[in-house]
Formats: sequence, structure tokens, C-alpha cells
Amino acid sequence: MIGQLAAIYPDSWGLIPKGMFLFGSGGVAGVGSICGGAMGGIAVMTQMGAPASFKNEYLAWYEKTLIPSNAAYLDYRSGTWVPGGTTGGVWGGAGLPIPLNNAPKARPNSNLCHASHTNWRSVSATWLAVNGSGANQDRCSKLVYDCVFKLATLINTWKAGGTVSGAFDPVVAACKASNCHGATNGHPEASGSMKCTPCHTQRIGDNHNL
Amino acid sequence: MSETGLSRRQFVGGAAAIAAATAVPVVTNVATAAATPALMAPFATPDWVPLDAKAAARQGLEIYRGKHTGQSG
Repeated sequence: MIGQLAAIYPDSWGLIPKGMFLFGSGGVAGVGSICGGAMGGIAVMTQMGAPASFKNEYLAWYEKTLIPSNAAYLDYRSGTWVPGGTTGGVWGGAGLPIPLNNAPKARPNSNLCHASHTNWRSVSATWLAVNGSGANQDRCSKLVYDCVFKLATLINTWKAGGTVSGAFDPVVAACKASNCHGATNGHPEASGSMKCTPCHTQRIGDNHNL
Repeated sequence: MSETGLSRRQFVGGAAAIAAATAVPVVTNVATAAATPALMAPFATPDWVPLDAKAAARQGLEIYRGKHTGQSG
């Protein structure tokens, strides 16, 4: 993404290393907190001054989208993608790994790498057994492809004067407006707007087994 | 996106620039090392050029795979 912007604006975005946000891999240095794909996109949009609705739209999309799509594989199959960088234009071997076809998909239901990747693994046991641990990197590399494509599309929409709802899962707002997490009955007010139900599976009024 | 899309300063930056992300000017231009980094990247809105989403996505995957200059992968 930064590479695209740098090509257009070398005197500003060209000063930022393309790999600046690689630390987000594995949910920041592999600890499983926010997914690097989700975080990197917000970092770019924040620097660009994008409205909150677009940033929210991006994060909400991440939460509810089946990931990874097969777009990277289909792009490879199109024959129009000549790998760049140090690949020497080569697919496979020492070049760019060929995306696997029809990898399993899962909804992250969260912006956390921990939930996103674990949910995917829960539906990918057979896939991993067949394709080995490299299938994890295949999944995450295609996640990056999907995230950057979505990010660029959103930015183009914003710059063209378009609008988005930026709506998160309504369960979050309902929870925060409730007596339970609205800070009106002694409970701590729930912070943030990330999807709650992946971790808090019980009804409002229960104690979530914490 | 091919490497030809990179500015010279990006090549100069490399991996060291990632480690020194909070002080980007230090690794890109010695003359500005003592300057106070800007809070936000300057962005030229009036001459906005739509992004090529597919090209950006391709490059994102390549970078994740460690296939760009300065990456150890």
C-alpha cells in the first residue's frame, strides 16, 4: 500500500519504508493481538486523514469477511502477475510462493490475530495436515492481499467523494448501552467497539465467566 | 508493482528504517536528522490519483512473503 502511494507521491509517502508495519505480523511480533492487516490499514488511513467511518468500515469488514478469499490464487492464475521485488519475476522455488487454491475460509469475528487465525485453524485441520505449516503463511499472505485490496478500494471511494456506513456489529452498541456495560450499575464501562461475542458468549446480565 | 516504483530513498532506508520508524528522517536524509518529524505524512489531496487496488494487493503479498529489498525473508 505504501509502495503504491510512494510511487504517486515520492516526496511524502516515498519517505516511509514499505515494510514499516511488518512488526504487525502475527498480531504484533507474533503475540496475537491486533492483526497486522487490520492495523496497517488503519495506520495508512489515519495518516491520510480518512474519516472515522472509513476506518470503521475497514475494521468491520475485517471482522465479518470470510478470509482468505481465493483472489490471490486467481490473480496468479490470470498470468498477468509478474512477481516483483527480489523474486526476479519467478513463481515458486526461490521466487514468490504460489498461492494455494481454494484454501479454507473463516470469519475472524474479531480484529485480533489470535481469534482470526485460530478460527481459521479450527476449520483447516485437514488442510494443514495435507499442506503443512506453510499453509499458515499462505493464509496470512492472502489475508494481506485481501486487506490491501479492500483498503485501496475504500480509499479510492473516499477520495471520490463516496460514503460508507462504518457500522460495527450492533451487538456492541447494544451491550455498551445496556445497564450492564453502560457504567450505570457499578460494572466497568466496556471500552472500545470491537466485536464482543467471540469471547463473551453469555447473555447480558451474566458475568461472562470472568 | 515493480521495484522501479520505489524512490531512491526507500532503497537507502531498508531494514534499518523499519527499526528506526519513529525517526524516519534520520535514515533517509542526514540533513533533516535534527528536524522535528511531522506528525502526519504530507498528502497532496488536490492531485489525487486513484490507487491500483490489484497492484497494491500484489505488492502487499510480496512484502509479507519477504520478497522486497531490505527484507531478510
